[in-house]
Amino acid sequence: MIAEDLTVKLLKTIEPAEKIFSQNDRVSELKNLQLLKNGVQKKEILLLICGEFKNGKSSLINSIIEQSICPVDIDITTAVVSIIRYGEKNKVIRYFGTVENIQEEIIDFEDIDKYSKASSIDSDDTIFLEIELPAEKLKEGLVLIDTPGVGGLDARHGFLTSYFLSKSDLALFVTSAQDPFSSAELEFYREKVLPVCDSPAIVVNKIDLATNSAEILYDVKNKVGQFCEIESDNIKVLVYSSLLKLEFQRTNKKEDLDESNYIQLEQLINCKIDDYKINKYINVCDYTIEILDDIKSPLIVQLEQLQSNKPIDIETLNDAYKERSDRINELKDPTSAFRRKISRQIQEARSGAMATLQEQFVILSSDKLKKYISEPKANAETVKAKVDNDISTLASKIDGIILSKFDELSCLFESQFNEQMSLGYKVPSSYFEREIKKPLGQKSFDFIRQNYSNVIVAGVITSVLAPISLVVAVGAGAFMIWQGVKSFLTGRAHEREIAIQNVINPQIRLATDNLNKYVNDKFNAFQYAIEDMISTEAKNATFRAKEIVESIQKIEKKNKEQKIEMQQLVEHKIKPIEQLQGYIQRLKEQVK
Amino acid sequence: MELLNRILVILKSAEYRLNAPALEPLKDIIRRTFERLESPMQVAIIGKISSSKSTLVNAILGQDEVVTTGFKEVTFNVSWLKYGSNKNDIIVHYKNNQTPDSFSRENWLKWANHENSDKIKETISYMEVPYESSILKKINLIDTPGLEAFYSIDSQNTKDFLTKVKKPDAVIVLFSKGASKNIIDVVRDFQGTFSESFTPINAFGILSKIDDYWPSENDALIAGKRMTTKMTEEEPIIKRTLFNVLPLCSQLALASSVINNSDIALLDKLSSIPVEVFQNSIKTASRFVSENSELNLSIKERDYLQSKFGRYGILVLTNYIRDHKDVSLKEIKALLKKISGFDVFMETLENHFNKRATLIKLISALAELKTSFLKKATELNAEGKSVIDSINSEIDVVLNSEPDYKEFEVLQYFYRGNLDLTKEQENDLLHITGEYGDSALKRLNFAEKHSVQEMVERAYAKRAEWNNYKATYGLLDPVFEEAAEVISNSYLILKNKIVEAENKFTEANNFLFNI
Repeated sequence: MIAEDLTVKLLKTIEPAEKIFSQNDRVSELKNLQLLKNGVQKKEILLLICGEFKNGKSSLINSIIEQSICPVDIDITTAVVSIIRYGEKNKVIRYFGTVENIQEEIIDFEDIDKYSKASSIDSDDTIFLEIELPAEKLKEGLVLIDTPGVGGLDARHGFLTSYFLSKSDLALFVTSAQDPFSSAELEFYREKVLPVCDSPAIVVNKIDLATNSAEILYDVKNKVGQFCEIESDNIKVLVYSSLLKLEFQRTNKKEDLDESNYIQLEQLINCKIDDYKINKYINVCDYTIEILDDIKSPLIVQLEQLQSNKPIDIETLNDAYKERSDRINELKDPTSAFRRKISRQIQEARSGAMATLQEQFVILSSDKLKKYISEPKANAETVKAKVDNDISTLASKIDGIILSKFDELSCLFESQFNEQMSLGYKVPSSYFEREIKKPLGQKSFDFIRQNYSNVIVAGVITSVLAPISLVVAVGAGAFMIWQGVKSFLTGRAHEREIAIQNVINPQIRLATDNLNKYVNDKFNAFQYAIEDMISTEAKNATFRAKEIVESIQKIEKKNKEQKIEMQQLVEHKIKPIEQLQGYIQRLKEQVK
Repeated sequence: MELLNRILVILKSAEYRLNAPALEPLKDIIRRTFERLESPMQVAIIGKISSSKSTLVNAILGQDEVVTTGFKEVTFNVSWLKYGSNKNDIIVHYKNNQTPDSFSRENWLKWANHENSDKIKETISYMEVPYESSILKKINLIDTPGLEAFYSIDSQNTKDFLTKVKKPDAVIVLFSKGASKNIIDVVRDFQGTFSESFTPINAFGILSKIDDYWPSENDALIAGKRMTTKMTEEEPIIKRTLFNVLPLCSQLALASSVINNSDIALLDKLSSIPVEVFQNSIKTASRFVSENSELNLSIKERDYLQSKFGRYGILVLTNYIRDHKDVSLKEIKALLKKISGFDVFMETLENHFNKRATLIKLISALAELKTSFLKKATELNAEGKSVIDSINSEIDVVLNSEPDYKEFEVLQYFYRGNLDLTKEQENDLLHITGEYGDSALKRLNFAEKHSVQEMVERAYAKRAEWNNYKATYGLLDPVFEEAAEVISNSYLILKNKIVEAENKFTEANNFLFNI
């Protein structure tokens, strides 16, 4: 658990570091640090509840917030995503519409049921609900996300769940003691939950139905362990009964509370939140220490030179410096060969991704659509379901395709960057050599790799409109296909074939356009970030190299006394940085 | 059934015509079709793991542990239950065309335990289990391993059996929470092989384990009905895939056969403790069997009751016994049949599968006959081919002249979505074709008893109505025209049958009772 004051202390402690960053012209590092700091300061933690349909996700949420917000009647299934957060007063906003026109409206609290439980035949155009309520449990910033179950008959449900899954901080996978853990559940857990969530816990709800909870726990752990190839000790599984927890609110009997296992669930959630926060906290510490190290190293080069009495060949040093400057200048010039190469590579990756997308859509709107329509059992509804499913699958894969391209590219650029910067001949001074040969962009590339993907896709739910564009794009596209097709459900077979194509094809194109735009935007953002980073890195490298060369030249000109004086000066500069690093290190150790 | 007889005549005469040795394989095909038509209908019970399939099989047979049951994945092979002595050997069929083996029951039980389960799953295709229960004379039951099982070979064995190995005539699909896409896909695959005749006629759904809806709901059966109604109304794919979906609690269905007087004595004892203590103790499964329970039964007794009736069953039975002193075993059995949904289930099984059995069997047998012919046709000379063609066309002629078959075809069109009907027309169609019951009253959509005169009048009126539909819309839509003709004709046939039945009735009455 991170105490509130510890975070405050850390933020206070790194203030001087930020000053040092800006004194040393580390602008992009300052920006990165700000992003990491936002993570620590963020009050809201998004906890997503997912699992197969009718496993008691909504009742689990109701039992946590101690209110019946999510509809739980046995004959209905949750059909939309609900985001439930703290608010002074009850308030519900419904987001709906199509990609061209996203709208929101405030609806009555009593109408939540109406919008969240629609069945697939008359589900309206709701994309998600945002619910604010004055629940004590949410006051600390816990935000619960209720999702439609997966595995039912509506393909859109699974898609909505996976989309929001990648936008949440934490996830609970809910299964039920009613049935053994099935292969469909395992597949969802392995394919959709594991890749985007850090050790998602599993809750076996409805344990009130069973007498063999130990056996169930073992069974779930064992299956997940085997299927996902995880040590079963590392899988967190908890049995729970939302029924008993809700019963406890009525009876106030201790035995109901105890047997519901609610205390353990609460602990589990708190523990997950703590881990999440600690992680963010440590990220800030590590990053600050690392950048300070970086700032410190030219000073250490100077110090070493001051302490040793070996003379340095200024000529060679100057040559090395000059060559390096030239190369750096090339990096800064957008028309240079290196920069053109990079933008060509980004372009290639972009067209690769687009081609995959295009190809899929061509297949979908020609061969596949024809095949679906001409299947002996085909009717408008099955065709719609299949197309819908294909688009959803493709859309949910897009982020993955884009991210793997970005990862590939940043690795490639890192090695090209270092190749460009390395010098052909030996330079004097081992420290200088190390400094000049140091893989310059590594930290920045790492940062891009680790954080850029999150920057692209994160920040979704808190600021509402931007985040949802993809869901709307595809969801709405698929939705409109379905609406169009619905009117043909009653049509005649032979006329229908053409009619279906006429309705579905424009919708497939609409979905294509939306996805194309999405991919393009992401690549533009990525290219801009990469180029910006390379320019900054280049500028910083020039600056640092110049600083080192000049200081060493100065040192060479100095006599013994001046050297001692200068040594004291450098030591004086290094000392506060090291001190600061020490403080941060200690603050970091306090959370472990 | 007349249709069956006419088809049998065609096949018999075909057999005589196939004298040339080269045509011997065709004879085999025809013989297999005979066999199939003469044997009972085969109904496979399928569903997700642990959706109480085996319990349902036991319940239909009215006997505990004919097939094993349990919480986890315990059914690890396909069991085909046929009529025969309980002492007869179990016949094991292998996947690799190896000759089937016979096992005595004792030896089988010794071998078929969990240690050997992997081997069994790998090598065995299915096993035939003879069992002495009269229902098996009419319908063979096939118990299958669960779908969506962790051990994927379980699900594969079931899917293979349905589409490749045996192709049963019909399936009963169980799901415990709601229909999942995976399960519906399996049913549709099965139906797809069914001569491309895509209709829910050969599949019906069971919403099982309805007792789990208690205590959120007081009456599990009512809750289950609400859910099944909603499912069929709101999910078009359900309506197109399954004939009907019924709520059921297999455990209590089985209990209605196997409950005995000593069980009632235990429940009677429970009914004597204060209601509040009882209700609190039954709140969760583990509390009911806990060591420091306030209940007046031993842990062993409580455990026994819970595994036999479940908490919902115990609650309903105990409350009933408390309110009705000196209740009889018969009364309790009837109560269990009712609250479990078993009475409606058995009625539907009888109405739908048993009465339509011949037609369903005929369709699937003829489909297989045609497919086998098609496969063989390439190996035959011109003479052989012409024999096949003539048999095929004779069958088609018979089928097309048979009102029952024509009705079936119209139903197919309807379920495929190729027939545009108003709500009222749809209602007429489903009733007259016997989808809701076979009696004249039900086919005319009368809710209660009516006189023969009234029935005849309605049949007339409906026939006129459908003739009118045919004249008005038929020109625009040939499919509708044909359907309207078939339905109108069905009303005429029904009217004739009613009149005929009344005459016979009067005749019989005169003969027996006239003084």
